[in-house]
Amino acid sequence: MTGFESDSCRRPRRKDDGSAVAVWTEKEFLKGKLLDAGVIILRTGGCSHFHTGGCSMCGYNTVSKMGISAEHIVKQFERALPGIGDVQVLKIYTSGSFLDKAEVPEEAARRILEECSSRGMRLLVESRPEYVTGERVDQILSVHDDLEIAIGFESANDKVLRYSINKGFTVADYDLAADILNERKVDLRSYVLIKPPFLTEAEAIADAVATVKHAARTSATISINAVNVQKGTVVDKLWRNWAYRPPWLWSVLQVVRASEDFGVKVVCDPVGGGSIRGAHNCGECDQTIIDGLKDFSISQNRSRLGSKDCSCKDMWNMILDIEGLVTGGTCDLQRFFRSQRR
Amino acid sequence: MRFDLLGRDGLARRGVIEIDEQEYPTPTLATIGTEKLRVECKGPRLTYENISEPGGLRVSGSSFFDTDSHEEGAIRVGFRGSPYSDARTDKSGFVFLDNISSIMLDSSRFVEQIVKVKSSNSLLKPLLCSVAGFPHRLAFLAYCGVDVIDTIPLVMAARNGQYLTNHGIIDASSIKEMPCSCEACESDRRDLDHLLRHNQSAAESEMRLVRHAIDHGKLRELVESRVRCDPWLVQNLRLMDITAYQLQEMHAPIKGAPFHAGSKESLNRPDITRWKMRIQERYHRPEGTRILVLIPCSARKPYSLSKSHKRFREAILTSGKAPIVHEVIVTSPLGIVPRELELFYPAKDYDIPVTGHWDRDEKHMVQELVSWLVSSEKYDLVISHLGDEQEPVNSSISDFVDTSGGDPGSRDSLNRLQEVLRDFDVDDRGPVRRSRNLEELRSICRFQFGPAGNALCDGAAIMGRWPNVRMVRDGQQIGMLTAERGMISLTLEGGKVLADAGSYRVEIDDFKPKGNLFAVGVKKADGEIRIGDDVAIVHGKEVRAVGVARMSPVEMELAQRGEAVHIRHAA
Repeated sequence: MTGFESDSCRRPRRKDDGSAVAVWTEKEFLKGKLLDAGVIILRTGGCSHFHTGGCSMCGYNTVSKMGISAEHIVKQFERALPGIGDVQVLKIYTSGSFLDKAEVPEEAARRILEECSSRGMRLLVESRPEYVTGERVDQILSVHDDLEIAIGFESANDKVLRYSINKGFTVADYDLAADILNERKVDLRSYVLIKPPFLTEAEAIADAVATVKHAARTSATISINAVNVQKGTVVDKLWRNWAYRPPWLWSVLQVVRASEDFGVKVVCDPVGGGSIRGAHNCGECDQTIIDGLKDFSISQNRSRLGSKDCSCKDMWNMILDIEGLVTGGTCDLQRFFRSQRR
Repeated sequence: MRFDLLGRDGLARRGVIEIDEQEYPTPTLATIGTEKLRVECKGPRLTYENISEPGGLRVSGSSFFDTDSHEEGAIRVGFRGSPYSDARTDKSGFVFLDNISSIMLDSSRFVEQIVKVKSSNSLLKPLLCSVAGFPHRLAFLAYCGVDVIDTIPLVMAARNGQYLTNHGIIDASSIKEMPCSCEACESDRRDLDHLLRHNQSAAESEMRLVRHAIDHGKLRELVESRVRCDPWLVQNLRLMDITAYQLQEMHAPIKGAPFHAGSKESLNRPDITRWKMRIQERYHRPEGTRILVLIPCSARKPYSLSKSHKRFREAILTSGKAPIVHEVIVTSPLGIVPRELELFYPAKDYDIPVTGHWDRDEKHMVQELVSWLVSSEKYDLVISHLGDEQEPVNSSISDFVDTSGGDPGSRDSLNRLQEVLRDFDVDDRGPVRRSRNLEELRSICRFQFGPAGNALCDGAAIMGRWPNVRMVRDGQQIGMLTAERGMISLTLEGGKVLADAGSYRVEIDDFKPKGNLFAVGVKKADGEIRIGDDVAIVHGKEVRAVGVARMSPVEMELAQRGEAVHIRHAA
């Protein structure tokens, strides 16, 4: 198939080497306590995998920029710090891998780790599993040891990783990284994806639940992420052809509820939830469900989840039932048959 | 699964699909069924592989999971078109319309897909179309050669409160009186179950009508009426006619059923476009004719049987110039019909609404053909004896005499026509007059067989009374014209002429065909052959039989079953 490669519909943004992409604070539930957390999204050269094709749903490299130096990153970090104030947890995202020295040079990483160490902040960073080596992790632990490392695992199914997401690593690669972290008592946070492309809604639910189950054995936290349609991605192309629908919030809810069985901390805050590009239902019941997911994420209290039944649940159920009978590709059945078209 | 083709109407076809010893006529609906969803149906059911039910179409899970088919006949969806895999795993024997969502959004992609599938070696496999089959779309989908259509839209529509008809979609809650008398509608209930049963019934009725239309060669007319209610369909049909003409023409029979040309789209029917192109490619005026008389068409066909045409001919006859007069009828939607071709399909088989007003497309089309005729055929005199078509025709030619004054049937006009003809000065250095009938037959032969038609007429004599005439050469009949077919039917001797000319040949292995020629015996078929054409069945240089083609040349070469040629005479 062609046509997926040559997409150039990316919004031009002002990219300033010396300031972070975004900075905010939020709440984080950790070991029974609700803590303050700061989030800094650093601008870097971007995810190494993006330069070799990238994942079907990921458009985060639009904030990345070539030629970002260690000094730039340190500057971004230092400028962002006053904005978040006194927090117990700091989350640093790079739209790539913090552990990849080509993306975040060692001296910049060291500066950030030292700062966290001196302030006694727990640090959460993200990385692809290939950069989670014993040597690199030990190096980091020697500077700061209150760490949580997040890996975008997405799916415990190698065929989904390869033919749906184009993730560029296998389940075995993830398992190896997980073992390295577990051996060193570094907390692992695993990202689980709901509804990568070319899967039906029902397959997506089953895949996400299986992935939560797989990741629960080695993870301290599981973050359930519903696909949102990001510009310039394969998913975007499908979405614009009505061949893809982001997951229903009913599906998200079902995955989060099913994860109860695996005894692990689960968080879920659907990006773009309730919008047509994010996980959504009919528009009536969306906010209740999203609020419930957010409440649950910072309380782990399952009674916060859910919504009273809405009429759109019948449609969702019907799509779960018949979508697998569609032949000749994929199709957003709801969009094609919605009544307001006529 | 076994699929046999039994009949054709352009790209559309009638067939039988056999699954687990149960036979279903196609085109057919494939009624989706799951554990939760069951609808009564007559045709095959489309279910998940794990719901075991004989006689149904089964879809296996996707290749992403281990549920990927373990069963030979199941339809495999593979990785659902993922660009990261080019694995084609389906072994079910079906072929699919791919990228179903984008072809439903974009008509040009739809037509591209049809052309791709129908030009490929998968032509003879049953073509399955998912998600698109509303009742009002079934005729068009069948027209494009789709054989199996799933009922997902019927279910989704019912879920959305949509009441489906063969004329489009109605919001069920807005209906005061149910416009259908199926069982579900008689109950006057509009819940999911009743709506679904109605939608199913509406689709099944329409599918039966579609099958009937195909059987009688009338599907195009049904399609033209159905497309009106859905812009997607109008776009698709127009694009099919514009961009898939060659594909459609190859499958359009040379002699089809009579039809009503009642819409803008009718002007672009493949058989009409073929007429216009063939006129310009294969036609020449009968030798010896020097005066062109352009006359209007008549409602009665063939034209020469109509009162108006009898009057025109009388005027021409009494002028004394009849042997050098060439009558050409100006008409929509064919453009021009030379008198001697008036029996050739579709010249005597069309009907049009007549208002006296010609629209721009019609005007443009007759202008193009009349000016082509006048400029390429070089008459000594051109007479325009027309009615409503006078203005567009006269404005597109120069150097002519108008005898009708817009009222061709009036006494005055007819007298004028007669006078102008009578006064035309024939100089005696004109060509030696040959038999006019033979020249007219030659014109038909050329139109039917191209250059080989000329060879057929060389040295031939005509016997019998027009139009039922026989062509004889050296005491042997080589062919005959019949009023009903409007075409030449060849004998073995005639077949030899075709074979020598190197066209309209079907090559076979070394055997003597008896009864009929089946596709399995065909080695090669000449590309110009159309269903209904007379063909020579040859082995090497030797003509083994002559007969009428029942398949397009590509199908003859691809197919392993079915009658390729209906034999008239065998050696």
